[in-house]
Amino acid sequence: MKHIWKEPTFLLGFVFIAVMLIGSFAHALFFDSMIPKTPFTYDENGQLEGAPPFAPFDHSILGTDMAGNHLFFYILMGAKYTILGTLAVALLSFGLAFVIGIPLGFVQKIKFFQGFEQVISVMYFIPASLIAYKFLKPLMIEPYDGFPTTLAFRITVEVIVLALLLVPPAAILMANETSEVLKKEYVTSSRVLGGRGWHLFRNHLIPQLKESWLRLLLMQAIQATLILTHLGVFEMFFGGTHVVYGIVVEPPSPITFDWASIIGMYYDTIMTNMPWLIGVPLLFLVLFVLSLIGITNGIQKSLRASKPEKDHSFEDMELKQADPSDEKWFELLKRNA
Amino acid sequence: MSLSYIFREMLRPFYLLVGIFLVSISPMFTSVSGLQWPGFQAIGEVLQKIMSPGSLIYTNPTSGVERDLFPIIFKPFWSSMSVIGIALIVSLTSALFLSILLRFVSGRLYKGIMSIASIFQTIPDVVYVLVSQMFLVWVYIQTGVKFAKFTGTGTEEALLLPGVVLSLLPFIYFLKTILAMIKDEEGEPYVDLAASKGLHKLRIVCVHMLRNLLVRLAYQSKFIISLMISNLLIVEYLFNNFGMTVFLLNYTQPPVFFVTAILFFFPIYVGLKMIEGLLYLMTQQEVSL
Repeated sequence: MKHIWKEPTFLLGFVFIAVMLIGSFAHALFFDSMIPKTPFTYDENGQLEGAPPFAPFDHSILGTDMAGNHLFFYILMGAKYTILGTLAVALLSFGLAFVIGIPLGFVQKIKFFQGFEQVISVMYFIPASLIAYKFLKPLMIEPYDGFPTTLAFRITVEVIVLALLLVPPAAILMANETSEVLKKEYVTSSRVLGGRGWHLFRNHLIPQLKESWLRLLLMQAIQATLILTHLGVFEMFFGGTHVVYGIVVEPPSPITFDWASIIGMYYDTIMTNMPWLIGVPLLFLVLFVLSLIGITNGIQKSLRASKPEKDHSFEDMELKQADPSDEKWFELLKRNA
Repeated sequence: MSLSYIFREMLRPFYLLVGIFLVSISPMFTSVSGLQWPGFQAIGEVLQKIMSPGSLIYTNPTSGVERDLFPIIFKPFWSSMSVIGIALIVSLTSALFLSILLRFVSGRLYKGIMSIASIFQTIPDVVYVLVSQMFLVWVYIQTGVKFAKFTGTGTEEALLLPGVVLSLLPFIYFLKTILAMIKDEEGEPYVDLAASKGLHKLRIVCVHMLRNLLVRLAYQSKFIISLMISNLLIVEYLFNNFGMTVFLLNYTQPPVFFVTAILFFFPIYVGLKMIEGLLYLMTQQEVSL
């Protein structure tokens, strides 16, 4: 893991996520998550010059919506919820899958487990975002007399539910991989020699499977982003949807302004000539997924680089210095021949 | 084909039914203020209603209008099936065509295509749908040409465009898989033999390799179907199609969801089972899809 800071893909991804997180928290701490507004602009004579929506780089860096709200600050505000929410779902589901899947891999061929797997296979047919939407709908859409629950409670429940939905396929994958490794010959002989669970786990499973676990964690994070984006498009925003039951009909608005919910909020404008309102949050979501991939690839590369595969003492040792009684001497002879 | 094998196979759809039932009653466990336990009586009532599907009614959540589930449900059924069908045909044929063309490219380009494809595969499907919609709006604004119907308006739905958009992700998946398989098959002795007999490269790919490729692709069919259904949900929602997945999304009454889900997933399940049977007949290999 020494060279991890020299991996360009890791560095790029890490910098993107870190900058977004720091910016988001700074915006929340020092500016109280305020969204600047530009309702109108005037030229030097005091004449009306322009009215929102402004295109990107026109008046603010990422443009504004119809009411003049600066999109950039919405993105900044939502960054912490998007990034931390996705990572929380991914880590929680990975952890649960780990705790369930690995012991399942040790105990193979249990009738109950097979039936369970069959029931779980319904997830192939019914999309996880559909289940999540149906399950969370009463909790997440604001009722007529306001939310009875707090934002933290709703976020916690949503994270747990999404994580639970992602657990079964991951746990089954982990169980299968574990039992594959445990079936290998050298592992069986290790068992014969008295190796028990913890020993097998530390000496055989971790070295064999750590890369595949890393990929699995990435997959869980990507799946979490996907489900959160789906829910955002269905106007079930992360942390709850604010609905106004007033005289004036207003579209539902998000509370946390995570990137998926910005897409859902502005979807109605797709038919108009304001592509940046949807394009910008989409771009940030894609950048987020790409930086997750970059970070994973970087870690994977540095894991491979730091593997003590080759014994470098062979190369350093000169043939004449080697003791002929040493086994290594024969190795050197063979190599030089 | 022992008796226990047949018994096990008969039991499988039953497990699936249990799974769908669990999903359909899941909304009963949440309320405005958090999680709740609905009680066995409520679950029993759902079971009772499922037993008489002919008299099921569904309630529109916004207008409160109640309608009979049958025969309205067949309309979204055909809409979804045709969108999936179009997407499957478009993605498979274009991926096959392109990968046969790409078979003649150098190894470097092959590597590039593979890494680009795997990055594109991880991008959320919403991005594809929204970007294609934004592209169509842009074309319309620039040229004034509306070359496909954009969204459904109740009576007449756009089917071709959602089908093409839905085919994007399976296309990437197919392209990647087929290219990898062609690379794999090239090492087989039968390809060398055919080449040594002087058969044209194109003929070897189209006649001899293609058969093996299609069989190997069929093993992936469950994964492809699950990818497409998840994608279909977002396509139907954003193209405003009155399809099965949107129906499942909007109407949350457990009995309605259960019957609709069975109606939608049963044909797909049967289709997968038929592929499984065909594979068994052709290759004598048992697979479970």
